[in-house]
Amino acid sequence: MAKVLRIHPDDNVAMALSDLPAGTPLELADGGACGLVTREAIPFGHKVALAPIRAGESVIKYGTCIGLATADIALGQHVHVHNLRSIRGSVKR
Amino acid sequence: MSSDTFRGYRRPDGSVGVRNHVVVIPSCGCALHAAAQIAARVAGSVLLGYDEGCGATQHDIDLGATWLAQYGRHPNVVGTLVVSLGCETLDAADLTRRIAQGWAPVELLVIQQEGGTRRTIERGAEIVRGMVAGAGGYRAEPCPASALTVGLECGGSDATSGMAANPAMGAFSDLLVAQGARVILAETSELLGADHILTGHAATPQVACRLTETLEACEAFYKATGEDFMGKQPAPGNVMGGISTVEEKALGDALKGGSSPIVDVLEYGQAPRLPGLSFMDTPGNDPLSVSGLVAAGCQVVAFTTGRGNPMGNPIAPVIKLTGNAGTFARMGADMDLDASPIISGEASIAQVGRRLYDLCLEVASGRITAAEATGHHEFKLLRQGVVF
Repeated sequence: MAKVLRIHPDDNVAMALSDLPAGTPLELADGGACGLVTREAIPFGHKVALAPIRAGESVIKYGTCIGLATADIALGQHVHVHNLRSIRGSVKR
Repeated sequence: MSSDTFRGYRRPDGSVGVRNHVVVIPSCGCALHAAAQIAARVAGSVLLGYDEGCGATQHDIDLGATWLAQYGRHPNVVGTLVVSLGCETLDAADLTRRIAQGWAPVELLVIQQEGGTRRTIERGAEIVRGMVAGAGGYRAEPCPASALTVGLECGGSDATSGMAANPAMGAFSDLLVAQGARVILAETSELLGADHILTGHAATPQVACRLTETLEACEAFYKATGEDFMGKQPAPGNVMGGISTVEEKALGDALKGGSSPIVDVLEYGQAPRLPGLSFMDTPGNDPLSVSGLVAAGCQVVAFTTGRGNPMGNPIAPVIKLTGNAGTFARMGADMDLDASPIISGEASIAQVGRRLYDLCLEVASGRITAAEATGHHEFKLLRQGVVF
């Protein structure tokens, strides 16, 4: 069991508190069980999906939208620049 | 609430210094070498590595001269030598006059009048040696924490910044504000996406409007380049550290300001007009932003990092903290405080914020920071226009 940190209750991603290999069972750092297993390796500090996120939907961290999913993201997948894009920092929308 | 104190240097103009620096200021890029040689020859003097001053718009030249004059009159500075080439756009004699309106001594050397590089270096070293000898005579005395102006900066952020070091800095900022100090949050481009957090902290609707206006102007300015922010905000190191978008970075960055109301919005290099937390419009670029904070009168800067940024400033101590235990282990000699116990659960945000506050008062009393010990003197002022 490895800990991940969900910063806000509304967040659909959590932060890895150590380097997590694929297949790691996860628990939330605040004690809440989440019953999740990583589908792929998640490096320290990077985000893991706590809920399925469809392409075009918001990725929520700090209780706030940090960008839009560019592909369908499954539970336990790595969420980063390969499947998440900024709204605010994009010139070509 | 009790008033906390540090041991600082009371200046004749009522300001309080935390260091006694003699600075050498080149008034253009062509005078930089001679100025650097003078500073290198005299222990106890320091170079402001200004390399503009010519071939720029009058607007940029005027602002550069204003900020350099503010460095010459900074409470941490006890003497200035201006080194001019003699044909640059920046009016070095006027810069010298403006510094002379303060209490500390200032001298001007013009390379073309002195007879060249070698004579300027010899004469300059002699002048600066005299100023450094005089700098030993100042005695520190107890000063209230309210006499401090402290800049808040982050650089080389990673995902730990928004979890540990930045929230701890927020707690630190709140402690300073409670003492009546002036605190400046900066780095506009790194706050795009946290607009609602900042405006939610605005002390008045006018401040909220000015924050919105500042953030929107910054966004428009960068988007006019036609480039996405990726690679700049967030930078490649931020991305390696787990930050995916400017919004994510911004929401972590905004925590540096703590919970205090934002009482004012300042231009780059503008001195705070009110006690409490002000916001200054600076780029996220760290040497530029920190140089602007110090131009505004910050005697100390507190700086959070994730990946590990060692930078400093020529005249103001820059205190480093990181929430990344690996960075603290790898780059310990560049760091002043470990905020990673917040992530491991061994310390609270409030506890690390208090440690940073206590450390800040020690640094203001003379404790040398890692950036000072390693000789970091990064200096870069804002320029917005073209180079001719």
